[in-house]
Amino acid sequence: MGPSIPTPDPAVVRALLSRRVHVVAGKGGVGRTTIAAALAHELARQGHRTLLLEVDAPDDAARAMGVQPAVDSPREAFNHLWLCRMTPAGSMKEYALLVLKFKALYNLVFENRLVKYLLRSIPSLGEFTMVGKAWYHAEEKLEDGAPKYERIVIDAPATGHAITFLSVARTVANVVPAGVMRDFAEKMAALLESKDDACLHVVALPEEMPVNEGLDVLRMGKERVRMAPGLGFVNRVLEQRFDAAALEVVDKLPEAFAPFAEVAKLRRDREHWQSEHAERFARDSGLPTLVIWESNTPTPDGRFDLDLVVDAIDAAAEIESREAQGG
Amino acid sequence: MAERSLADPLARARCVVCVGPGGVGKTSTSAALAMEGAAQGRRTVVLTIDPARRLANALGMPQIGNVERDVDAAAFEAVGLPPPKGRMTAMMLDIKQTWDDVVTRYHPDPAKKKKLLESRMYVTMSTALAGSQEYMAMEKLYELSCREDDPLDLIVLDTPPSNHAMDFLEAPARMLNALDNDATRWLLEPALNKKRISTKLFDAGSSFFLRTISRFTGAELLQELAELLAGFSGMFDGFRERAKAVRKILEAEDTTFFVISTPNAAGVDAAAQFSERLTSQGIRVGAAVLNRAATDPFAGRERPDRAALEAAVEAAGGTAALAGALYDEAEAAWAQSNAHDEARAALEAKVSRPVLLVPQLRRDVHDLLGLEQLRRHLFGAPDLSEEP
Repeated sequence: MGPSIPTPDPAVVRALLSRRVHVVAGKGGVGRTTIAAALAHELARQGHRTLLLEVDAPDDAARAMGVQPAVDSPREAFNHLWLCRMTPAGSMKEYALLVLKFKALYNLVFENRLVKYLLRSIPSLGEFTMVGKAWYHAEEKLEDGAPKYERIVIDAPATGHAITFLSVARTVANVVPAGVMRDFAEKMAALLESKDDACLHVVALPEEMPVNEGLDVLRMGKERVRMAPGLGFVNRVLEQRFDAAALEVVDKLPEAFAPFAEVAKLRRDREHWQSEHAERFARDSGLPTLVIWESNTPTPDGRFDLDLVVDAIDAAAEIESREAQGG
Repeated sequence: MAERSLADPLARARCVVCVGPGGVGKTSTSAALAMEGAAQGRRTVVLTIDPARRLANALGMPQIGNVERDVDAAAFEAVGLPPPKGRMTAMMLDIKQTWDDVVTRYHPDPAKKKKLLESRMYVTMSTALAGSQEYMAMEKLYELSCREDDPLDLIVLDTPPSNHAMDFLEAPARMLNALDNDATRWLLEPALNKKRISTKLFDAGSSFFLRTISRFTGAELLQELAELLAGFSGMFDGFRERAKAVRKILEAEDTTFFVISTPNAAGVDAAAQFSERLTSQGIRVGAAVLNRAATDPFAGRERPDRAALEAAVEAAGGTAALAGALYDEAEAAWAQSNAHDEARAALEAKVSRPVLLVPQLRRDVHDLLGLEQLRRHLFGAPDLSEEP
């Protein structure tokens, strides 16, 4: 028992997982990083060369997976899974070097204090270069012409920033006069807007604000970025622990045990309003929605949470589970 | 927790700023503080950044747009609460609108003003530039604080969520620095004065830099940027003066910051960091509030043991499994409650400010009743009956 949310069609889930670019968005603190890490883990386990790009919290993903922290260039963390962080400064440097080709020139100009001021005053240039980096990695090829990364998972920044982040390519393409930057922006926007290649996954907690913000980011994603919707994740949902029969028993307990009744009712109340929010998210988003149960024994490094998400994705896609494959 | 209250710091303050990480109940706490101010008979306004829709509705703010609205006595009466003695208004910050207001009000040159308001770069910048939100919150604070008609006794300011204490304080300065900087002006001068940026290899001055950057951004973008900055010319002195004035307000005797967070490890670390950084900047931190604390169901009572509960549950017709689940649930609650009490004490010792624990409320705080409950916890008032 728990929220009544329609079971996603496994074929639809599998089709979404086969997209190349996965953006994971949602309000701050909803577990976006865990979901993104689990998704990347799952895609890598299916045998796809997968790159996980971290915007806000590069260390959290690494910790959840128990690997070395991400750095500015992709590093293989597991078989088939690369981890990389994106910072405005790091991405800007990569982008500048890509355009300028000469490191000396870069150092002379871009490391200049005055120029740094100027670049900071250009609206959203940081976000722009980060999306540019994602696009660059998506286009990277191996020597035989195959894509270097078959799947790219972007752990986007929290809501407000995510919308700026996702729409920046289109905004720049529309606002900036013809030139190098607009050319890049057009290509970046085209990738994000491609219905076959990319999708936007939304993560929420079963609470008022996280659901609202999740719905907002989805709507903005559709309207402003024209991104195809992906999966919905309602994270940390409490499983029903005390049913009506149990509560009846609890009510009959003697006074000395009254606090146990309080505890049970508190739990039931939380389950109730969580269910309402989870159901509202599934209904209003229209996304194939996966429920991730609150873990009973989370470990400090969040490892348990990661496995929970991976298992939920497996179940939804009807893919052979980790255990069946022997880890 | 009853002996700690925000009553003193609130009573002494004319301006209250709530800071803290995202998702900790900052907006609700701000609204509850304003309710207390109004209950004390003070003319109070709460300025929120991004409230939940239902909370916004509860406060009578159906949409954003910088409109100050009364939280009507009728709204209180409708849920069975006594209306506050003082007048309480609420408003939501609209970044774009505030920028437009500032430009409209302060720009010295009507022709330039019109051109600026219509330029594409301005529209992008006024909504997307990092620091814009914080800066506009400050402009609004300045405006409210200086208002002469309908003067305010208490201004409660909610702030954008942030991981760093200084984001809110420093963002405006950073943004102004970027916009109004001799260096920026020097760099962009060629873009402004000539139609085309020099392509000569060894041009004097800033052209070389500009040309290199333009390979990166396109020359036209830099030209538009230069025009944008030129469009603001004549306003920078005003920006700077008001920023200084706001800083004075923030450091004033009658301004208090409340640090809002949660009692888990990450939340307590964040609260300590916020508090220490603010204090080191000469900002008064009145107290810290840790929302959503676990409560010990057996506070002040003896805890029965597992076997006793099992016997009682079986006598009431339940199974041993039910007894086990009940015990586990209660045990988890008291373990967490202990941890939160310890975290509170440790934080209080560390920051030398009162730290309040607010228990996880049974209901989501999204209406006046929820806010009233929160208010009672913050001000040590007797709890409302926790209705089902």
